[in-house]
Amino acid sequence: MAIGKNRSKIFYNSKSLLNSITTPIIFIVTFLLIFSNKSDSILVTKIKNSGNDIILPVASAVMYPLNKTSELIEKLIYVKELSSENNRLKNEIKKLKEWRTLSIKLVNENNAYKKLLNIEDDNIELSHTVRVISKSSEVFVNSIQIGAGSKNKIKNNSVAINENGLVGRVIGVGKNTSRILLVSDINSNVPVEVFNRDIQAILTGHTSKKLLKLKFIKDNAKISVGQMLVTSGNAGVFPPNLIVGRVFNIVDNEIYVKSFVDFENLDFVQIVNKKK
Amino acid sequence: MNMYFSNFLKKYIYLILIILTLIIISGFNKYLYFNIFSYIFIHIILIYLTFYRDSQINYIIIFLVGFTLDQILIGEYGPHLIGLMIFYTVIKSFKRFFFNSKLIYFIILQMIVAALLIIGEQYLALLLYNKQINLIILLNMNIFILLFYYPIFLILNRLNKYN
Repeated sequence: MAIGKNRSKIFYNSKSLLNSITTPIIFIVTFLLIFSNKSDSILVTKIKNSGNDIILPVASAVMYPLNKTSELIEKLIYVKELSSENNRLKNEIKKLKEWRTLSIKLVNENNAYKKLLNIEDDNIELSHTVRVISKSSEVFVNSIQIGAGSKNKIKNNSVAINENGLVGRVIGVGKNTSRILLVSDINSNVPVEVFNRDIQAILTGHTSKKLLKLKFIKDNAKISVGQMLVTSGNAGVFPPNLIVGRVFNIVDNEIYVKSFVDFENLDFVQIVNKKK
Repeated sequence: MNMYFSNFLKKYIYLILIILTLIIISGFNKYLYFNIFSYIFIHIILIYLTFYRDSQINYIIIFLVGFTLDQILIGEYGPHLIGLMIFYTVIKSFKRFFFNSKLIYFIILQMIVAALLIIGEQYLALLLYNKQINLIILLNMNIFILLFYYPIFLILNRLNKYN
């Protein structure tokens, strides 16, 4: 009986001891994490990168039934609108065929001129076409996660584009996943210039998700609605001449730009690197 | 161990917290307001746990939630981790002073705490990592707290009674 009492006492004491040391340990780990993160420690970078590799697949696996149900509902809605969509697509194909003929003609013409002038102007090389795994909730940062990482030789600051233009840049690389900061995030800054004119500026995200904002315009040059913006290549992160968007609106000297990319519906992105 | 785990799962609040965290990090829903709602819901549950379910496991839960939110939403460690940990410790020490006040005042106090916590996290993100505060989203979050705090509080209270 006495042994039993002593045992429970020892068990109780060890439990309360465990409880009393858990809290300080958690606090110490928290402060160490933050301190190491601030000092760009390699260990924290590794934790961050492998954290993405672990958390995202687990979250996707657990959310699989919900995702599939939501997809099914979307498909049902889509089926309802199928016939009108079909007619629209038929018309579009007809127009695209006309454009295709014209585009082949222009490409050939362009190549012929390039050969004639001996020009080598392709400044980017395509590294990978990657599927978008998930999109961040936009509560803090506007970013997407892609299903390729250091295994696929993706590096920090690689640039992501799609068929419509600049999407963002890689800000975190795990083994199998990477994180891309979208151009539409308010923390993103992209050096741009007005197409065919030497007006340089910085393009940044805006609180309204749909538009971007132009700031720090060189020499306060005049910019008008409709002008197209491309990356300027300054600062060395983004290669020059990637299409970004078009000036959409100017209100009280604030210039708003509409990106050609639909950030809400990103399925695939292409990772490109600057040609050396 | 098995019994401990099943007891843990029986506590629906933790289960809801885990599901909401998974929803917000997996980017399941592309609608911003749904995500804001989930984010606010997570914070309200944490506040509820602090005020009504004092347990040592809360520290671990808060650490894990803070770590996951920082990892996925911000990509840097700090704003959620330190914000939530300090908030939990402070509230845990001072909550007994408010237990005698009227329920309505107590709920208003919790709403103010929720709003301060959200603002604090955003400010910490700005301070530590220069992540700009999106004022529109911050305003939306506070409106959501105002609208949904009491209904969520009632649901959690009901769940708490069943356990």
